[in-house]
Amino acid sequence: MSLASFKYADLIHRCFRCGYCKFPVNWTDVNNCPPYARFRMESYSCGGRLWLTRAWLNDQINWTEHLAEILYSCTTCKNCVIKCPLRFNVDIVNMIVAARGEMVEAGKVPPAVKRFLENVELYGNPYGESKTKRGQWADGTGVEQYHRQEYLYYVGCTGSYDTRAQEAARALAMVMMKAGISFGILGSEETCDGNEVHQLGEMGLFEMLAGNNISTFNDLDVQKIITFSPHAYNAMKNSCNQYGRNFQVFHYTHLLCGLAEAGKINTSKGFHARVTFHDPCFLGRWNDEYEAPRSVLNAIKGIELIEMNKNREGALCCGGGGGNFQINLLGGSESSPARRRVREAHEAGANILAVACSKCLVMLDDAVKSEELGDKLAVMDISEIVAKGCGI
Amino acid sequence: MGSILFGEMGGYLGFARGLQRPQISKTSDYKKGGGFEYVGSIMPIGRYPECYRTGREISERHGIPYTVTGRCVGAGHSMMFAWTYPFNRADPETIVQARKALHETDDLVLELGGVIWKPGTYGQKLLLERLDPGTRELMRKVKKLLAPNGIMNPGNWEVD
Repeated sequence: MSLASFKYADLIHRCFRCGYCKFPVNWTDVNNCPPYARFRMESYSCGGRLWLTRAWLNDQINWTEHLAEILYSCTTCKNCVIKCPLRFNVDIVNMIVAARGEMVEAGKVPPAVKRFLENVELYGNPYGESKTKRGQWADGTGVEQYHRQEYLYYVGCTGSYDTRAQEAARALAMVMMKAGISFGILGSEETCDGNEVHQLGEMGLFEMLAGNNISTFNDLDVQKIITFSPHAYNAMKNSCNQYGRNFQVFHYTHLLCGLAEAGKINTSKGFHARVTFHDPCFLGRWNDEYEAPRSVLNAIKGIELIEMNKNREGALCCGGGGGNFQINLLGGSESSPARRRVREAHEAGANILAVACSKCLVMLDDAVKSEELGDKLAVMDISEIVAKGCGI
Repeated sequence: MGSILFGEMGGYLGFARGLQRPQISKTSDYKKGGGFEYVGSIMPIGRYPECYRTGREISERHGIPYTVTGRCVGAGHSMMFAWTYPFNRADPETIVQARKALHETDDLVLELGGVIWKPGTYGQKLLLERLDPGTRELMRKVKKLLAPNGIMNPGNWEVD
């Protein structure tokens, strides 16, 4: 590897570390870069990472596992992209991802990243679980295998294998069935969407996943996909075009928003709570969708929707993006982003923290336990809240 | 290219007014290179014209677009005046030029009767040469007391 051959060689030196990348939109603190919030070291901010990356590519510093951890601690949440005042801001996360790609090419990644990538390559998911278990979340629900229904319900790795996320995946399936939506799943034929593989810099593996997924969708004549996870939504919407994408993709909150507006879901049972919504990075900052989830929540009788101080494009990431849901370089501290975020929800006066991402659901649910807020705050996916409102 | 302190699209501390691209972002990237250093000073207000004119001359001498900023301190007993010199971290020649400009500006501040604010090592030497001997001795004793082995910020404010 060398700086001269680096894709962003003409840009990476232009960050002068003004520090704006750490701020939320409303400038209330300097803790909106998740790794910086966790470690409070300049090297863990976007600017610090860019300077270290350039120094490494320029042979001014040697690769170490710690250097790799600093690069991989970035959750690719794009807060820095929003806040960077310079005109190359659109590429600053891409620079980190490209630098990770250089590390992957050199075979120099942290062990947790190596395990993640090996598991996806061998098993089609980062958990290292058997593909035959992938559809077990749907056992007993009556959800059908996909056979040219209107929608393919793409659940993703977290919704398929994590027990907490499975509950929400089932809730969404039940809501869609009750609303009369024609949909099916791939079950054991589903495989990883590759969003985190892409963010971790393994472009070869991502190409293979994207190609195989699109081939599967084309063979089954899939026209419309509903993703449970915003990460899958992002991969299919933004990264799959060059591999022959021939379908429409929606995040499930798009579908529920449309159903609510059309009066096709009956939430008359209501849900009485003070709810605040945590914007997932791959729905919000990556795809500019902030209103659909709020519209769904506002349509449910009894909900008082309140906002945290940091919301929409200024939301604090849960710390699970960019593979960190599994490789976990940001956990283990009261400064961990997820624990900060649940404290923010509690301070806002909410008793329900609503999410629309399976990774956020698990990250924040665990954080509530760590913060011992379980008797004051519950984390629920919007699908679960809608299910309650529908009396499911 | 002139000094744009409070234009519509940005300005000093523009972030505090919710501006998307504060002036600092333009100034810092004039050389497309992520390098940005400045000399700040506390200066008699009457020196404003010389600060402006000489700052422009220094910038032009070193091929750097000039950006200066001045504002009154408190009720107007003095002003903060600063000169900014961007450079390209990937172009060593621009770094050399910026360093020369910074040193010449340090000299200028003292010539005009000002004091350098948070000086670098070159400016520190200039100030130390002018310090009252009693003040130098006080600084030496404080440093010796707090950092007997000289490990705190070595190379800065070194008093023999």
